[in-house]
Amino acid sequence: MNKALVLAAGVAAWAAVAVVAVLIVFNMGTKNQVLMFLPILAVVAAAWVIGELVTGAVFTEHEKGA
Amino acid sequence: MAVLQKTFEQRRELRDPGLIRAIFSSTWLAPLWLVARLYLGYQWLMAGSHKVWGEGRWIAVSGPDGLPLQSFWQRAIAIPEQGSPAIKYDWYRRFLTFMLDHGWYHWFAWVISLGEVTVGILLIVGAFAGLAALAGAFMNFNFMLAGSASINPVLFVIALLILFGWKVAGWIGVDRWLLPALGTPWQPGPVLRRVLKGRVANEECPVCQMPVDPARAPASAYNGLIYLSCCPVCKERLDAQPARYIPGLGPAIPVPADG
Repeated sequence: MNKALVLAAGVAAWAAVAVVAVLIVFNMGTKNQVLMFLPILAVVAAAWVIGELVTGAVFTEHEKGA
Repeated sequence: MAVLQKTFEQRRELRDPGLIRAIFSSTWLAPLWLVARLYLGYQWLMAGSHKVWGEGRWIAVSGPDGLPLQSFWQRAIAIPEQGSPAIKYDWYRRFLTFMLDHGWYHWFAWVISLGEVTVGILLIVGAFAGLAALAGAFMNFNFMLAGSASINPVLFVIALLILFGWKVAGWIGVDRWLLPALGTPWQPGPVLRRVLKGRVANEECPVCQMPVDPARAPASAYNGLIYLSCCPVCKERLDAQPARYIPGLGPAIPVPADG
């Protein structure tokens, strides 16, 4: 897979975490901190999976081959 | 002197016990650091959001910026007729008074507000988690010095713990990829090595021809290139007579460039 593409996917995944966190805080205020925490945790988990399975896999292969 | 020699001459390095290494260096506990990081980052993002876009925001208001901060500082430096003042250290009261007298709250409100949001985001995504925790701890420390306890002591302790665990705190986060790529001053990663490679002119010390360690070698700059020496003594010699050790170098003026 194209290295630039998977790198962009990894960066976008973690940028999405930042955007989602800001949007959640912006829109929900301090009403329920646990409810706000869970979606942030979920999107972090999604970004982690993308990082490990997509971006990390390609870059690790590249390092092994180098 | 003998006592000093006996105590320090061996330069022993004391190893941490396994439990401490497991907590602060093992990736197995990265999920625990993730929870701590998310909680701390969330708190900072919340605090910053109130100052940036809340109803009583500190910045980007129709009037002058930073008036809530001015009020906070004024309350903090006040010395009541009865009871004890909020600030216990006179030097800190003088520091806040100086900033108040010079109207620094206008721009300092931006620093605090955007700083809190930035620290929050960095902790949540796990990018430079150690540095973000350090910045957060510094802000907690200042709020506490100004007499505002609130949740600052708890956040301060969590930030310190993340600071100690900086190597693994962002493992489930951007640091998992960012730190190995950048590297550290004592162990540069591919990015740092690539940046240095274009400017470093030598692999051996120009004075004694010993191999140089790009991560630690003292550096001098001549005609836009970095010349690494193997040790401070050789750097002194190089800087004293650069034309002697660098072939083809004219009468250039040495520019120190540490690191």
